[in-house]
Amino acid sequence: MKKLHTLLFSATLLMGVAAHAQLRIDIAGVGSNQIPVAVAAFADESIAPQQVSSIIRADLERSGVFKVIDARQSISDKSNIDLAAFKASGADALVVGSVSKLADGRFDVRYRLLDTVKQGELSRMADAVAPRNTRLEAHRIADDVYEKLTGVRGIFATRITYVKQNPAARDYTLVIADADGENEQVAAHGREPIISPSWSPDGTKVAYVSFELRKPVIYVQDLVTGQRHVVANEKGNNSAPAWSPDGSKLALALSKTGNTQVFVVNADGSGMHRVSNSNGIDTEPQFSGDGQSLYFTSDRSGGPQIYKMGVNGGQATRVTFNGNYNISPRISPDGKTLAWISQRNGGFSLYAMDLASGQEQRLADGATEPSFSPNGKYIMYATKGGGRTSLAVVSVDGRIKQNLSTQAGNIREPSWGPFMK
Amino acid sequence: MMAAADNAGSGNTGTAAKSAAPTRDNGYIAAITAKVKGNSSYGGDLDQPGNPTVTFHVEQLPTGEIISVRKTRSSGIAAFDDAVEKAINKSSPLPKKKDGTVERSLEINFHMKDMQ
Repeated sequence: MKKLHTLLFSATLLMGVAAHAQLRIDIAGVGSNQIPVAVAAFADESIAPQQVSSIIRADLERSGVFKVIDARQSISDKSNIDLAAFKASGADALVVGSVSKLADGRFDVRYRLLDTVKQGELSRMADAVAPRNTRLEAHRIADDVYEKLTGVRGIFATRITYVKQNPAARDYTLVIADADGENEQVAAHGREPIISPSWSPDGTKVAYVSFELRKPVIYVQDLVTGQRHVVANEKGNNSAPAWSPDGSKLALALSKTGNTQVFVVNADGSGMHRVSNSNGIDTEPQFSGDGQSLYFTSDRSGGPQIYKMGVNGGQATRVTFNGNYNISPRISPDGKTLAWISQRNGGFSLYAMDLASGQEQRLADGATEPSFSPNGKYIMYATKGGGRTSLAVVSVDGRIKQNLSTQAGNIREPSWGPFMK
Repeated sequence: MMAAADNAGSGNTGTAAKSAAPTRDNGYIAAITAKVKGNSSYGGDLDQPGNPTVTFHVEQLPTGEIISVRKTRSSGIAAFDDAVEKAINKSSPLPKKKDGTVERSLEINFHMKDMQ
């Protein structure tokens, strides 16, 4: 009997080992390039002037990075949640929250970000906000969701500036708005053109060119006080202001010497000095991320091309070689990517180049006046369509393209503001 | 009885191994592939040389519930490895065979790009 048991036991052992041989499965290609996130309505969010969960949903959807799933219910941050049910719905993460009114009239906005797969909390926030800042708080929550799920800082709570114009009616407005085009405020308004707005690195000022004196003059306006001062009103054209990364200087294009050349000036208008040195047109200067170089457009080789020189001038090296019309250089915040406008086959297109490899990619057609988002992931630009000019956003890899919430009128010259502290 | 035990214990190891080894049940493999692939999302740059592949050893209970997911070979791209691990975990419980059984051990090779 014992021998039988031993033999049966060893047989079972052998069969057991054989049964544990692995089944090999090969899977090729990912199902989606978007992260599925479920967003629930926040408990009591209708007491606030803005519906927080809809703003969060719109931000996440517009980014192109998420597949937003409507949780179809209101879930408070204080609830016990059946995360397994959400995992089964296909969501990787769930956004929940609540809004309650405080005695001083402010709203207490709370949110939690939950991982449906690992079944834990990824993040939470709780802030008391004035009613008029409900929108901004929703954007800040969307930024937190974006950052926790992608590792990249979000831009939903940033602001942009642009020019809205009706030339036929001689009506020009410099507008400050949220990055989604909402919440427009007027920074300057007049009957003469306003062009080339440029946001200061600390987000408190905008430099721009105004023709109100019947010639182009560069102003810097403090957005907090509304006060502005003249930075350059030299003989001829004063144009294309661009801030240094530390906010202490501006690079400008001035034609005071007869031909347009690149100058640098302190932010208060003092210390103006010439930096470029050619007999042609050098214009549209942009500081590099480290503030040590200037990229600019020059016609020194015939048609306009983009060059780079030290911030104190000297030898310039050419950067663009394809096509014979390359203008409007913009440098990504990390200094690694050049975006610019190239005229090829009759139209203007937005291109991006990896500066290390020189590899180019066409991102959008019918595009002018580009501006990088502060996280370097998106470029906003002006585009014509339907008889008017409006703003659009393209991701730096070209995958995602969106039109900005269409305000009426002709909108152009966008400048994307920085991260606010 | 002794004869039966002898058969089971000795010469039949070869036969036992063959019948217990995973037969290529293509319907079963397709069901698991579809579920894991459908649950996968990866936002990183797909423009990589070759076809990066990550391999996971997966253990499941007879119910299909996944009890262990262990990376045995990285693709070289940590974010892609993580995305695939998440897709596997999201797919628990895994689909069963037509006869209601499962393969307890799986080796899943996930390739970043579709094979043309």
